[in-house]
Amino acid sequence: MNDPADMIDAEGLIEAMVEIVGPEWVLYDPEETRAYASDALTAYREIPRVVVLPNGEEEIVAIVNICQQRQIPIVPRGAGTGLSGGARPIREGVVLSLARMNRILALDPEAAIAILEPGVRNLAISEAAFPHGLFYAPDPSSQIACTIGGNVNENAGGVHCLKYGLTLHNVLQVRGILSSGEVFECGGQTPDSPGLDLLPLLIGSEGMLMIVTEVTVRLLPRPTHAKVVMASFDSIETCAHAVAAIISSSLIPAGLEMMDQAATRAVEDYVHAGYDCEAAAILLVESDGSKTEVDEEIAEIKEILLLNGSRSLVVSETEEERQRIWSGRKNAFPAAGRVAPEYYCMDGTVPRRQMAPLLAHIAQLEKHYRLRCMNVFHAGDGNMHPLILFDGKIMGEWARAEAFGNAILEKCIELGGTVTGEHGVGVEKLDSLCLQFTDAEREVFHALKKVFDPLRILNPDKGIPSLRRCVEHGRKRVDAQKRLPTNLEHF
Amino acid sequence: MKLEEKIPRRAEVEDLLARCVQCGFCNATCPTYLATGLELEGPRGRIGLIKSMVEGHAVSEKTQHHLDRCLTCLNCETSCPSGVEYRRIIDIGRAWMKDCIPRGIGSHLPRVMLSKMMAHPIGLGLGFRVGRWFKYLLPSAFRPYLHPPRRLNLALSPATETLRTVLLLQGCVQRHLAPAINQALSDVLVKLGYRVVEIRHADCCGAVGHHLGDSETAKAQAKKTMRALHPYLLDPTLQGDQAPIIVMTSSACGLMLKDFEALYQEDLEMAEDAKRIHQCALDPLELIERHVSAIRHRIDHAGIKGLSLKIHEPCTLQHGLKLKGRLAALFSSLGFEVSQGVAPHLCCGAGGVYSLMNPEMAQSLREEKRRHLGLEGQGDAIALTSNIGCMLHLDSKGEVVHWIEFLQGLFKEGR
Repeated sequence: MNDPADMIDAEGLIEAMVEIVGPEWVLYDPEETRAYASDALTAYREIPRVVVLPNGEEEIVAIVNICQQRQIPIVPRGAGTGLSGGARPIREGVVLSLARMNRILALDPEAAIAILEPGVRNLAISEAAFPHGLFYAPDPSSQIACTIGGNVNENAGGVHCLKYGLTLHNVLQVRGILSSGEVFECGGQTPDSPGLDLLPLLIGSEGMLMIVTEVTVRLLPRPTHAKVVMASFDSIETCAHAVAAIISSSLIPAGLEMMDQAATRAVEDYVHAGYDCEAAAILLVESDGSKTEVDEEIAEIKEILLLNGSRSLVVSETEEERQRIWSGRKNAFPAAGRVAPEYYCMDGTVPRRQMAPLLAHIAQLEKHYRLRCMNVFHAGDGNMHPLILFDGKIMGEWARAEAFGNAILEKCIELGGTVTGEHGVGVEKLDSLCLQFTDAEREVFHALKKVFDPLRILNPDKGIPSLRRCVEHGRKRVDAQKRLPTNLEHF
Repeated sequence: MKLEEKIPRRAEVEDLLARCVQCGFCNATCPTYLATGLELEGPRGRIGLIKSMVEGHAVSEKTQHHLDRCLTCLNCETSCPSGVEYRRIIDIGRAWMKDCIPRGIGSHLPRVMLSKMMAHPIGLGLGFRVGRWFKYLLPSAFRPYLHPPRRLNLALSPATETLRTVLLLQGCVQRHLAPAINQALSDVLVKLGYRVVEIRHADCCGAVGHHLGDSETAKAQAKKTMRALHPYLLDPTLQGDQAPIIVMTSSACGLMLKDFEALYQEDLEMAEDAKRIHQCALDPLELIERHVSAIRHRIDHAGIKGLSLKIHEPCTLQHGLKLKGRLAALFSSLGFEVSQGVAPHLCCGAGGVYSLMNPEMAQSLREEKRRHLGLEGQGDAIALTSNIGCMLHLDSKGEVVHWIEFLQGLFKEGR
């Protein structure tokens, strides 16, 4: 049999890649590239033509130049823990894995910053900062594995972003490679920088604007004390009202998370976090800061929760206990794998007062689509993560799960919310985005994309839906636009 | 090459695979993924490779290579929120590979030799002796295993009242390389009042063959171990609350004993014994933990003042037997200041016979582990561990010892 390289490498692409990074770091045989067919949203799969693992910015520049000359799409990939298919490969394209670039280039405790390669794991930043009494605040549930490059591209949040903000609020500077092969830097170590502020545009751009090669993050002083309250509720509605009560008080908890019974039961089995599995929903409320601050805040939180219908409360007494309580929440998604063969994790946001109506609607949808759904969410900012449980081996279940998910997102928009909270659009939310934005808004997105990547080689089929797609999928409210689309450019 | 349509244990593997939701958390604690950044060198990628085999995709030496490179440290099982039983998946995957992809002589021969040698205690002893003479002609990866045996002379001082019966399996490699370890456990248990029966004719428990994907040899060896234990399992005086406790001083072997049940679940003749062994097997740590207060006042801390005590919990102990943190806890409850160093969850690179098959990866993990444990710094440090493989792999001048040997040395005269 011929070497697979000869069959798929008519253009000498593999040879060129091997020249840049060495044979060990180029994969082209489907036996090996299949491992890169999806990120953690496994329903969308595609085996890429080549996977390349560069080690250093110069190698990335060389790779981008080769792809630019040949108009070959590039899909960047960090740890592959994403949940919207942002790293799903393109069949004719290159997957650019940044996993080898995992060095912490500098950590300056006095300036409280760290300069990182894109493949540094989120948790590794806080581990390195620990001896200096510092930490990196955004803590997505996948923080043990996900990388800072991926966090920047998805604008990752986490359970503590209510108080400390998203990735956007904790990154000072980003350096990357444009599709032209040029190095591009934005942001700076000063609070404000001259010129247009492009940093917020790049953070959350899902690999569509540039390949991130270096990230400078802000580190914060690690709070000396932290405690979490776990409160049980007999109904979802009371729990949602208690959230509203906390938010409308003067408190800003470090974390405010809600889990329904289906979710607590699934994780309790693995983590033994001590969750009240009899409660219809539980709420986790964290306070951090100095000892006095924490004690005062916890007392206040307890009072609000009890006044608002919490039937029992547990406060973490030790750091170990606190970690255990959180680990249940952080492992909630994959723990769904214990109760069903597959799950479809949704990511929508609604105004906080709309949480109870949305949950009631989801309960109805469960019956309609004949699928179970676990609910886990960042209650503090109204970011919901319904986990739809299904078995892909059963004919039609995945289609039902997908329809179920879309119905949830449509409801989110109807209630004044959005179709993504923190997981990004990727390939998953493209259709939902047609509902979220007007033609004019999407045209601005496309125009911006064109400025950064005129050849459309950087993760080209993700993030922004084309007008054609919106029409073809029947998801665009044409009547609302009062005109039929005329210019159907395929993006 | 593709797997046959009717592959053995297909349904079992499909069930095991269904648990994995591919979240990728496991990669974060996988030593080979951390070292390479390659998806295929992490548990999620390896599970994917095995899934591909089930789905009927062609496999080659590439798949074999990635499965070979797994240390079987099982750190992924500890990290996995979905409860994937990786150990069972990789074992079956490796067994399939053996049927699918013939190995070249250079890869095949040492595997067969290692796997079969364990079954022949006399040959094994002779092998070590000859190996020691020709130590410098052999690949350097073999050298840690060819030092003269460590010895310890013990005088037993039996207690008056006898507790339960402990069946101490002698194992294979360890009794040639460090016979003092089994003696030390025996001595401590006798001091604590146990009746210790040394089972000498069992030989290798099968762990080595099992790791190498040679399940036939592994099963034959496991059977021999079960046969040796059989009379005790039947003994009418050793039933109910007098049931024997079965121990091995190496945690890798202890884990293998636990695995007998899964290995023989469909073998009517052996299943019952395998299940009993699974129930009766304990790591020595679990046994000694019960006697902390008795031991505390019988040992002498004076001799080791100023010594920095490091704990290296082998993967088989923390991820396999799920006794994470317990060895460190034992010594701190005995009044010692202990340190597990940075990243105590990571493998040292020994991985059974892994260090002989993949010396480069093993060596880099060893250096990292020694650094993390603080064994490369100034001052006297002793590292305690519970597995002969890790002990010899990590050691440089006798500073890495089995914890039971260390503990035995602390008992005051005559106590």
